[in-house]
Amino acid sequence: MLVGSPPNAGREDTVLIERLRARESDAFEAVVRLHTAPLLAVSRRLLDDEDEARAAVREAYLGIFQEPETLDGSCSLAIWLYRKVLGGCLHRLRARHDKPARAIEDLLPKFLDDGRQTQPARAWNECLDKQSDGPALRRLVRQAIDDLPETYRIVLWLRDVEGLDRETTGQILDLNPALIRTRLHRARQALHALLDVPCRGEAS
Amino acid sequence: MMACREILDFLMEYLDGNLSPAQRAIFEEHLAVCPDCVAYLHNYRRTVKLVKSLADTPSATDAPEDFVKSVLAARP
Repeated sequence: MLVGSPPNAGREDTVLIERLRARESDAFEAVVRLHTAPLLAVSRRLLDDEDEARAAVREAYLGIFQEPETLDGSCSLAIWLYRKVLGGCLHRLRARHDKPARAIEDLLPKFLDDGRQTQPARAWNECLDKQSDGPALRRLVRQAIDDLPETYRIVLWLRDVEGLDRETTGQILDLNPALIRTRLHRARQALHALLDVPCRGEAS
Repeated sequence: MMACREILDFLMEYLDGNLSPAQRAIFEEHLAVCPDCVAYLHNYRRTVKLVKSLADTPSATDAPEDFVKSVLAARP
């Protein structure tokens, strides 16, 4: 739905947005039928809870129903809806978190004055490659992602889980692509740090 | 020669093939003599693979009719 979609509203979107702003009933239905499946899929992956996933998507649509004039055509309907659903999902995820966010600097590699790693990396357990589909490993990765600071976590999620390109991720988060790139690398490094002990097969 | 700090900073550029041939050669010269950075590189790749595997999490991709109807019913 999103990858490769034009950044601004295309011709079809423009017509649909005009109809939404005119509060045409069948335009609302067309939008809901077109976008619900991909939006629910994103929301389900992020929240891992069907009721919450549906609530986040429902809220995004209510935004259009109640204030269709907020659709100004500066972005495609898909991007607009994705932003709204993402915002709703993040709000719900924040409410679940009872731990203070960790500083990204605490999770990045440290170096000696001569540029070497202070804690040299050690190879992870080889059996990880065979277990990547295992539910326990998925849970571990998911929990580690949840421990990342939100600004990094969401970039990692959109790029590596949702598979969005840098430009689309930048549009959704209103960040320039260079910053997306920096945050993605740091998020991966921080996640590496969080997974390091369990993935070496050692108790923390 | 590059230090480990620079190797880890430019790891994603290296893996994405965004380094120039000259930069790549310097990068690989370091990897040839630094087992710590080789281990980090392998672990970083695995980290990315583990995250991407979450995209395959079984998750319904449908738009349940009852949900669509409830949304449409909420129109003012």
